[in-house]
Amino acid sequence: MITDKIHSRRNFVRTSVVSFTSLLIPWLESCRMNAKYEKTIPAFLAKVVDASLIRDIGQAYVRSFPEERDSTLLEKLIIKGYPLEEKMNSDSLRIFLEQKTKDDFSDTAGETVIIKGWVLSRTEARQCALYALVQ
Amino acid sequence: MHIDARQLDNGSLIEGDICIVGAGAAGISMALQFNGAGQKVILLEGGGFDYEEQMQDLYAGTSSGQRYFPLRSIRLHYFGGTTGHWAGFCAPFDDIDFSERAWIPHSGWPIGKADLDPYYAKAHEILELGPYEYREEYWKPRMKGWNPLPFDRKVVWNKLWQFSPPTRFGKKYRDPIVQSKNIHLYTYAQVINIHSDRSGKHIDSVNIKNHAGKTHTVRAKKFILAGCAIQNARLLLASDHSSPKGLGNENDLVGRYFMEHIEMKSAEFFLIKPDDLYMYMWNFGTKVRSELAIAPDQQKKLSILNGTSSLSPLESAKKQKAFIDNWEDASGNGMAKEMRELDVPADKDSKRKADQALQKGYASFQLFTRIEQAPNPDSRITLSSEKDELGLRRAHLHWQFSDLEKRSIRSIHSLIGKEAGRSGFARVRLLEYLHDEQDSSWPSFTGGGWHHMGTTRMHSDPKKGVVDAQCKVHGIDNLYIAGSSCFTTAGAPNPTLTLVALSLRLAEHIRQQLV
Repeated sequence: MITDKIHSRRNFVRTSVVSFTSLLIPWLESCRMNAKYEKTIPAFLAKVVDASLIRDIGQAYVRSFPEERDSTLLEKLIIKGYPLEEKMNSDSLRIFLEQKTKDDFSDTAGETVIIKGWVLSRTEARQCALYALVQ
Repeated sequence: MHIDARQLDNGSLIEGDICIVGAGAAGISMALQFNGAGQKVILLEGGGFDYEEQMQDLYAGTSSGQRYFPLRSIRLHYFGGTTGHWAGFCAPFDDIDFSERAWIPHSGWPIGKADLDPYYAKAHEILELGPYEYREEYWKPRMKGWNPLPFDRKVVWNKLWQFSPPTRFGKKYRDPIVQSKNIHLYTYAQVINIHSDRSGKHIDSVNIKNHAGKTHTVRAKKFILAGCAIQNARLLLASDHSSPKGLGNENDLVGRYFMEHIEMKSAEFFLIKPDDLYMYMWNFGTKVRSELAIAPDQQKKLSILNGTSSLSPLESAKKQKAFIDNWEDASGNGMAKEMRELDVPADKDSKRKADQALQKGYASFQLFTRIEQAPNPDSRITLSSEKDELGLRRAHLHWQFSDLEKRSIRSIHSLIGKEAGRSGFARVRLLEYLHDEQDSSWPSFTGGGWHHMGTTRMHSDPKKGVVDAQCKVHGIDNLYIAGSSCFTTAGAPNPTLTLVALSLRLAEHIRQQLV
């Protein structure tokens, strides 16, 4: 189970982000078997923080936006804008979400949120929320 | 020429054309402009040539409001002044720093950056800096390993700093001053009073005193106070024989608008791939480096103060003491020890290790703010009832912020976070004290940069400033003030380059007046 893999790695040293990266990448890669998991993994953020912090951010997000405390709603919001004519697979979804995450930060989109001090794209914050709910 | 005022007969009369009170960066820079000229310059320094506890005691005072460093430790009381322990950081103010900004009450200088540009260039020579160039496009091709962060420059741009060695004015300029035929340097010549004529519009003389019990009188055609923001205000307020509120203080402005730079850790910056961010790093011998600055249009849009954020590897930044906790021991042993250790040159091995460490690349950095304090009339220097050993009432600092400072720090780092995210380069996490937008409290590590500004601020209107655009005290025809006490706003960068430039401009103005 992915959760078991996460919990088995709880000993990392918090101050070493390089440690995070080296431990998380195998976890991240193991999740790329299924497009569903692409929705719950904020790809960029997962390379700089550990799973428990992703969950904490997610929980904090739904406290701030309780109307989005619904995994089905969150999934819809996360993939909103995905081209209907394109078949969704894990690779295409990952590429779409990476770009959407970057676009969220622009002034025109105005979809930046600050959660527990993290300046985040709303899309990645929702992914954290979805992760927190499905776990 | 140098004279030790302790050796003069008591009650001596000293006369000259120009009397400069204070031999720090401002006073020495000004005096040097008259070297070899026709005027006789009297340069008064309260201390000697070296650090002395008894002289430093004269600067002791009290403070209230936001926690501040002990007043005894924040300026140095000997020839060369606080250049005796500055770090050499130099950058010019931005155009916006001089502008009247509708969202910042009491902002707006009566001069602009263009008025200072020629003097900034000259100040570079005095401070032993490179060319007067601060454009990223100038330095990038000249600096190996510079890779700017991929941010939109219309939002977050790279403001550059150059680094003075740092120039210790007391060492570098002692000989030119002492050997000058027309500059008469008096040490142990602490000014304790300024005497105006009966009208209060003209200064006749100043009194100087020392611990040898000698008191002397200095007369000159022009007087310039160059004693730092706290001491300039202190002296004006204490000179109340003919002006009960103090000299130049008809409108109760002397001492008000004390400004610092708020300098403190503010956020963390996490990269997806380790990078040395060499362009942003500072090490032994760094000549130029960048800090992240906020574009003027963004400052206007968000109604925030001007400030920058510097980067340093998080693992080393976490080991550093907060600025406010430095110089905690203002007593003799503490300060003397810190002073002895300051200029001990780093050995080659330490330098090599520091260089290697910077080049290895890091995945996380600390973001450290330096931001202007908004001009606040309630942040001020007043006089306490206690007197120092020479009979001058001591200074009391009440340091107070407005709502703008904390909101601005949060906005600056949110913007940096947005640019980091938009570029796909990094993520930013604000430190806890910035999480709650409604929380106006400050953490214990809130501190300043030892930059003292604004206590005799510049404004064309005497109801809004103590000095005019030429740094002349309103209402007094021959009294001027040099240095950062004239700053109307604090600007984003360290003040030394700007105060030297402003002092050079004043020197030229006085020269023209005396021709």
